[in-house]
Amino acid sequence: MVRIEGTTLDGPLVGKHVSPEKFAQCLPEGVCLADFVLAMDLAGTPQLGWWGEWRQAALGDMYLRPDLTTETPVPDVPGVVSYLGTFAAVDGTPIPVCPRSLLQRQQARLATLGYEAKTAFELEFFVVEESLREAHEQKFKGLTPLGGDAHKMAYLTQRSSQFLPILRSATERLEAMGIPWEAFNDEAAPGQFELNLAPADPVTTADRTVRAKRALRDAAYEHGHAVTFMARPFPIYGSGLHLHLSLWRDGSPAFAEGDLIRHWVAGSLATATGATSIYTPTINSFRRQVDFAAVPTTPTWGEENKGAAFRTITRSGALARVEHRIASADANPYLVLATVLAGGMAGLEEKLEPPAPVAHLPWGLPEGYARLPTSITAAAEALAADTRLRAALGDEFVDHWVESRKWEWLMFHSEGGDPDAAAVTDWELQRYFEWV
Amino acid sequence: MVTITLEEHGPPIVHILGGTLRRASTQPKLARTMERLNGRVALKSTTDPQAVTIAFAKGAVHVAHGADPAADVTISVDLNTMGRPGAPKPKVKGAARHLGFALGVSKVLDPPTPGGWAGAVDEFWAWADGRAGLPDQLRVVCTDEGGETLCGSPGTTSVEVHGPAWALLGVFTGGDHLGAAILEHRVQVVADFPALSRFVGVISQLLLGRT
Repeated sequence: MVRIEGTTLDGPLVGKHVSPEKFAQCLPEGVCLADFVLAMDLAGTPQLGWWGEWRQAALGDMYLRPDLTTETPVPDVPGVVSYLGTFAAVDGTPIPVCPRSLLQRQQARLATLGYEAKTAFELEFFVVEESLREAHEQKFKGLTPLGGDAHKMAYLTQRSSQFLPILRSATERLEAMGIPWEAFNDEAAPGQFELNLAPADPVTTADRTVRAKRALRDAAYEHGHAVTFMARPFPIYGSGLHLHLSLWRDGSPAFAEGDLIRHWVAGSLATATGATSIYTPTINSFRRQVDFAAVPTTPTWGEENKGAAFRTITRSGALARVEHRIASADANPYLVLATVLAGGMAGLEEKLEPPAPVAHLPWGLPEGYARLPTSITAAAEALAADTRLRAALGDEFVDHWVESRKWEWLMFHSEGGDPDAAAVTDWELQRYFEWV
Repeated sequence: MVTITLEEHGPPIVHILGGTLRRASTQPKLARTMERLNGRVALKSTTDPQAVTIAFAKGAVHVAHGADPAADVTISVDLNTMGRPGAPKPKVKGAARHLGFALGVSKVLDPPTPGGWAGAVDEFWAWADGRAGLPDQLRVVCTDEGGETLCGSPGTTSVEVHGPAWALLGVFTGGDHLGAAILEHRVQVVADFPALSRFVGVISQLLLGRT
């Protein structure tokens, strides 16, 4: 059996399982899916109010074209292999809102500038005591973080017997799929953990990340628990998707060259406000964006400054890199990487210079300091107005994304979401817990 | 002179009521009423957390989300069924002490539509003229009172909307979301998917009070 899958814009993996015979027949185009799968929200409601020219008028098909280089076995299911793919129209042209295609284009553009990127995500997530079935029955309300909800330290190894079986199952799955992982650790919030994958090129990084999310879900399921990548499912601390990125030229670390990392940071800063829409895509994402929670809330950068949106780490030339810290765990890894590359390349191409780095804490600042957008609509408007990201990502993608964020805002408010709720709402839990 | 300001990045209810107030302010009699009103009214949904407070200060009107507990008048209403036949009546608190204010508010929050549903369609078409997403031709058929109205001229895109007068009035004055009205069977449509989706976008602009 063959599984072919790709992510929607919101992140869930969609696709088909086909017989080996059908798989052989469908190459190279791939399998057909109705194109509305890229224009429906996480509750399965068709998004109305706009129309992309890439869509067919009557719920027509598009192809999900497997990338044969992504073949892996499916752990625990002998005889099943999995491919990740890209969405294409029935005439073969790429779908302009396909997340993986968008990233492929940005990676190819970086190559034309003479650089390769090495990237790695830090994937944060929560594990709950309840099984997925129990979580469903409770409509994801009143769940208990693994180990209980009492406040605690970070990096604890003392209670590893609670989480080691799950994380070990997950890393075994990664190894079975040929995905190199580096580390995992207990994180600051109860039931919160972080998994680090090895650096790779951006497309491979995103491929591995979506598969790692599946491995974590499957491992938790096996052990009678559930995992969520919601940005902030519980009151204390949220989950991020920090990205470490270095540039390389001809096999040598290019950020050691001096000016390059400044231009990259400047481009990242110049596009940070608009990019926030993609880095923090959901209503729940913005619950994480609060001061003094190790989350950047300002468009700033600084050497070794984990409060800034962009943290440069240059203590070793060979390891010189930028940590992009805005994205939340609920963001689509392909779209985050495509946007990061687009912003950085704008800095390189325009030789942008960043403002002075911040050495102070970029939280609790008085009025007058710029802040990143604080709502899904403000972020969407900023992206709509960002000419650099529009030029790089394309009008069709940006317009579709912006409208989809406004749709998310409309659904939240018209389906019972409370804008003043201090804690995460039932609407957020039911919409996001399982699917982002 | 009436000026209406809305909370920046406020929820939809802020924009929807802002649109209603702007529509009211175009009618001279209601504009004069708004110039006289002084006080705060809170409008709360009885079925979900939506709430808004409108501050009137002699022609300066500001709309922000949340029900101000110190508002002079508080109206509790099922926002999802407001304006529909058989909808529960709103409950009003504070009207006895602020009778004139409450009466004025009730008028400006429910501005009459000259010409009924057909007038609303004509007004909508004039407002929407030139906006991206508008079909070449719009046909609206009233299924209870009878009659139809045709806007635009034949072209490559067309949309038909059928429904009872109250539902058409809701959609074409910005009081109801066309997508929801279709899915919940208040109106029916004849259109292809692209034309319909884009048209919902135009109607949503009206709903959200975009000028």
